[in-house]
Amino acid sequence: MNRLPSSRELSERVEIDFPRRSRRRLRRRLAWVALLAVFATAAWIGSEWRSGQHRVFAAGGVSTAHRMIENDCGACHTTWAPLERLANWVDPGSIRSIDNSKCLACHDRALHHRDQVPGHGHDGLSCAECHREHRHHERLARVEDRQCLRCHSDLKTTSGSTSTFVHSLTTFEADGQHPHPEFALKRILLESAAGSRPGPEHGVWKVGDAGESGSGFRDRARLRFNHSAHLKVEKNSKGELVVGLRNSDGRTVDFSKNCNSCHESDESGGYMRPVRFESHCRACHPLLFDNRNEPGHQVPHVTADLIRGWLTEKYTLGALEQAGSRSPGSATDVTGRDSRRPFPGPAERRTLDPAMARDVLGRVQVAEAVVQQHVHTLFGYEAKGGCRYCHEVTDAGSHWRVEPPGIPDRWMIHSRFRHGSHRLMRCEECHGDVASSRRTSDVLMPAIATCRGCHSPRPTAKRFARAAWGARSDCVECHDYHGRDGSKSSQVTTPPRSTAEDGSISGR
Amino acid sequence: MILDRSHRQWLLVSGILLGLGTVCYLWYASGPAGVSGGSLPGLIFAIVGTSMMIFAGLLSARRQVPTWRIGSAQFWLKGHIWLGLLSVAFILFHAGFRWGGPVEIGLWLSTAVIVLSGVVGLGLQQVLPRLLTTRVPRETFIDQLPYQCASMQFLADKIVSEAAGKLDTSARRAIGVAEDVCRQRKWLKRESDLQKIVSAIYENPPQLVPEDSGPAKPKPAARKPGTPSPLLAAQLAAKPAAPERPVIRTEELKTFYLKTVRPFLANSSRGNSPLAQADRRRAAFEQMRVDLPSELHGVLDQLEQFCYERSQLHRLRTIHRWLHGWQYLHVPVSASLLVLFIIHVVISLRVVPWEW
Amino acid sequence: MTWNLKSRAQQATAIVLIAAAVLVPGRELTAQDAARYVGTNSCAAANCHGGDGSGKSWTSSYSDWVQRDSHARSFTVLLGDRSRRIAKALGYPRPAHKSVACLNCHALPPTPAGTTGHHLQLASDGVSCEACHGPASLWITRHVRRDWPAVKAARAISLGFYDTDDLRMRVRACTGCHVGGPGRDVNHDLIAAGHPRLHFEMSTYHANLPRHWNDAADAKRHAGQPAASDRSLRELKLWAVGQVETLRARAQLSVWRASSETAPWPELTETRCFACHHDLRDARWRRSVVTRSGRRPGQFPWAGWERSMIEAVSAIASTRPGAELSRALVRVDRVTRPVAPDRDGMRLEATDLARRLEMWSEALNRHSFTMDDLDAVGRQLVSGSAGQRGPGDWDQAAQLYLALSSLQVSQKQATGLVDERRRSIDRALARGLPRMRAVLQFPDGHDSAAQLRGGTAESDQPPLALQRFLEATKLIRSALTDNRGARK
Repeated sequence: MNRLPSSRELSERVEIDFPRRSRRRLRRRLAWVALLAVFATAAWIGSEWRSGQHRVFAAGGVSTAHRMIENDCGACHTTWAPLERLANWVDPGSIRSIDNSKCLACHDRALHHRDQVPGHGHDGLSCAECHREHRHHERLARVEDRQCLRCHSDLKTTSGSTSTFVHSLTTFEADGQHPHPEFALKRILLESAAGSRPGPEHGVWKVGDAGESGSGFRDRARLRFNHSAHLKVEKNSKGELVVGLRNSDGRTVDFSKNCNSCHESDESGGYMRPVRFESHCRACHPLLFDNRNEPGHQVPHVTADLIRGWLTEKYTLGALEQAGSRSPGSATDVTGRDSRRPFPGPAERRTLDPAMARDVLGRVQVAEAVVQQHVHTLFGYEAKGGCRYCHEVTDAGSHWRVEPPGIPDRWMIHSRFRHGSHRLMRCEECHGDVASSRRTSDVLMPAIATCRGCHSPRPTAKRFARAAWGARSDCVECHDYHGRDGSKSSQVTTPPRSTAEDGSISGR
Repeated sequence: MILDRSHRQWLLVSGILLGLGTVCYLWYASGPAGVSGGSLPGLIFAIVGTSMMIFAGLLSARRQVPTWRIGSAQFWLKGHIWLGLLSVAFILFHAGFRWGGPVEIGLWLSTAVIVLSGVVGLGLQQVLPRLLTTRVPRETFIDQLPYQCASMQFLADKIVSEAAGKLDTSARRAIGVAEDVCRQRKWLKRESDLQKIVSAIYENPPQLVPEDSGPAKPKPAARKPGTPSPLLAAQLAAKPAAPERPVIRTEELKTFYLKTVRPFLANSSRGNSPLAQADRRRAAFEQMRVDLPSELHGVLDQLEQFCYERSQLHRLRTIHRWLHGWQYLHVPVSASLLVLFIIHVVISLRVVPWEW
Repeated sequence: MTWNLKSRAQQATAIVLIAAAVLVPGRELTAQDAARYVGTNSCAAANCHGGDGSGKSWTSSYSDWVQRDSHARSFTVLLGDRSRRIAKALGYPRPAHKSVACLNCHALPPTPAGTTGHHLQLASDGVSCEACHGPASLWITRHVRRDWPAVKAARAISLGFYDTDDLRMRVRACTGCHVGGPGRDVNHDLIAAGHPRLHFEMSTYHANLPRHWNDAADAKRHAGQPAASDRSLRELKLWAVGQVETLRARAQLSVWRASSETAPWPELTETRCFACHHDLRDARWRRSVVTRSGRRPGQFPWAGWERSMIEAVSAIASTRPGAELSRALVRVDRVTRPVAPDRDGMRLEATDLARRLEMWSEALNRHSFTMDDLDAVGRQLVSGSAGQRGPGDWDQAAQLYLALSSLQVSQKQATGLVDERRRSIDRALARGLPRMRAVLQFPDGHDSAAQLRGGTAESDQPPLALQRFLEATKLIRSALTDNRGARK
């Protein structure tokens, strides 16, 4: 039945005027649907715009802290910038969509380092160069390592000279191409003879022979301190080693007290407060000066001239009391004298006559000598110890001076550390054999291998009793670009102003 | 567009561009700054990708203005395909393989829909035309389907009414095309022929008014093709009915026709009718041939022919839908893509003259 | 070419140069020539002022001063424990002997030109020569020349020399620290931290000062018109000028406190100590004193100590300033009445008052005192408002006592007690003054001023009186619980 149709039959199938009519039915339909799609899209865009939800136009969510301004694009972005950047072929990096002044409207910024070479040939890095927004970060401050390595993989300085920092650094782990070097402890410079204040310097330094203790670092604080005399290590019932503090009787050990009894952490749980004589030492090391006449009385822990002043005042007032008690009633007896002398009111103030003054002076000198001496201290009120037992005392005739100890309160100034984050560990896990350290010059700060035990992405050699790894080891975990870790090299802004004694504000 | 050897040059060029782009992207991505859409390399990728997309979009513009003869149609089509595909890669490079915000996700989804529908359409275009050639020998213009269904109905009505008497059916569409059909076959020698023919077929024919050919008479309003003119309709209505023929089992034929065949011939019939498939159609008609005397076999043959043609038209429509249906996604979504693109550019580049 | 003065040209040049060196006076001081402190090393030379006392008094001024004067030990006192505690209580970042606020009075004071004496080498001498006689860098070489008196008379101030021969200058040398000034303010914060209060009376402090000068010549210089030619009314003049200058310095201090950015305001020492620090029992007599002065109870008066004797000084008729001054005083009083006085008002009124007092002290300084002045002052002291109803508080009582003591000495020095009348006055004073003094003596009781010095002030133990009280309680307790089972 399916015979081939003739051409006449085929042509007869089609309407006569069909060729003359337009055949754009499909195209017209498509055009209407396209128009509808355009309207729908424009309506959606328009509604989002009108309702102020500008964040839908952003190329990704902002970080958590910026959510409150995510609908205000102008808070960070400047107009025309990408086009200007396109037009500026010569130096496109100098055009920024994010003007630094917009960041500085809320945030403070400190320069990283005085000798820093900014990247890419333009002066001044943009904040947005490293802090990439619109990527749904939780914390914008967590900058990727590669931003730091931009400079630190081949470090150069503006002065052209080689930096004191290591030149190439690629990773924290030990088995990288250029691993993080051993920690550079703050070099301690003591007060020079001119009395200028000490300042930190950078760089790794080894002092003394390698034959001394293994780390090669020396603490040059001018103080005599012996950790092992204060601590004792024993094994408890579980076989673990525990550290306890020796008591003031010199014989017993209190295992409920340990490092924390002297090394208290500050309020934020970051660093340890400096050890203070008044709170941590005086209980066992009283500064007695006159066990016969003034048993139990101690001089304050102050400089030598103030000790002398304190002693002088004490003995003078004591002498005046005795003199006054020997001749009562003389206060009001002005017969034959000028009635204006002495001034009326308070009990009679007298000056010492020369004999009394010589007596007082003698006593002061004796007491000073006692206070200074270096005698082994027995604990308690029979103790005889004094300044020289711990300090270096220099003599200059009748004047003696205690050298400032120069104990650093921060050892690793180029990083940030929080003891609070590490509170599940015991002190001695990081701080070496504290209980067996006998010399002040022993440096008990951890080496980098200690930190790598946990701060590595893979399990390293089992360092502690438990195997732990996976703590973050990216650059910003420990280092702060913006110099808020206290390292003075990065403080190029003026130092904080201090209030003078009379209340006026003055810069230093 | 058939993907044949003529695309080789385009393929090669696209491959080279893709390779170049990939190399540039890898070098740029490994840099310290990372990837960013707004950086200089990112913007260059965006410009390249966008220009490719704009070229692809100009294809429809060119279709609107066929006299705009810059480049052949082949060139434009090939460019549309290859540059369209390549633009996806370059936009991925521009975005740094990141999704972005809501507007950008809209762009990605639109692009995905467009590209996938286009690829699907392209794939169909490799297969379906050949299918059309082999499976639909009676191919015709898709716009003509309603007309042809109606005309087949009319012709079938005529044949059956000649054999079995007038048909009692409302044949609006058939009568609407009656004039064109008769005129094409030169059955209208006189003006009154149409009404005669129509009245001979249907029991209650409407009045058909013939087209006025005299210049003095006012021309009636232009009518839709297939609808009878009022004058012809009126004249046909005035004619007396033709004498009845003798009935030789024609009722069965009429019933069969009116119940089964005629609905199938309509434009709105479904393609899943038994008459659409060859073997079942043959079986049905054989059955009828068995039942009916041989005088009516000629009618049955012609009806079978009509059914065959109608099934061809079904197939044609199906294939046509497959071949062109993807455009309902491709084109509107590309229009909304254009809108989103404009918004994205305006906002990302902040090319507004006031601070906001 | 050698200078052998052969040619006329060389001779002429030499003459010109020598003449220039001799005749041309020292070049005029410019603004860059601020007088600076040089320290006592030069003064203390043995053939200058550091002699052994065998010559004239000025040859051993330094030796006398360094041995006997308390001012020599004013720095050492900063090393003591009390000073350390004061500095710590006030939160000073450095110890007392290095704190500028302490050194401004306990060492060389800062001059208006900006010279300071905080360096340890200068400060360790205490309130040394230049504190009263002025920074010496510009006059130390000039004052040895013969023309020094003329130069001194003409240009003392511009050279930075404070001529202490002049009594007014002498008082001002004292009031800069003993009353106060910019940067030298013993205010209530300092007193609360433990510093003794300031109560300056020129003739008393002058009497208590060991003489490192020729006192007889000084008395003669300011003798006035005493009863006999070899007598002197210097004590009276010193007392009168001292009172007025002290009040003037006090007014200037109020001006500075009211206009300073750093001084606290309201400042509690603007009023009298005993306005608040008195016995808290209700006392009608004290309230009547208050209402007599025109205030309501609870309102603050201004500057009690320094103005107690002003009516007595105005008894010196020829220099009396008139009603304007008392009105100025009243205006200042009115400003001080509320708890937080108006700063601008205080500045205005106190400046006006200081100006008037300056004119008055200048007049007193020029005045040649007579015996009539002496008697007039004496009568005013015992009869005036301070005399009849009694002094309102300890400050007024002490000022009265000191004024009468000055009167006694002045009378003795002016007359030699040749007259019987004078002798009887002197006897009356000799009998009455010790009784007054006994009343002024602070009792040794709980919360008394005895805690200002001595063992109880510096220690954390309860004061002596309370200790006796606790012992008594212990005694009673032991007595009560001694008999086992048998409770009384």
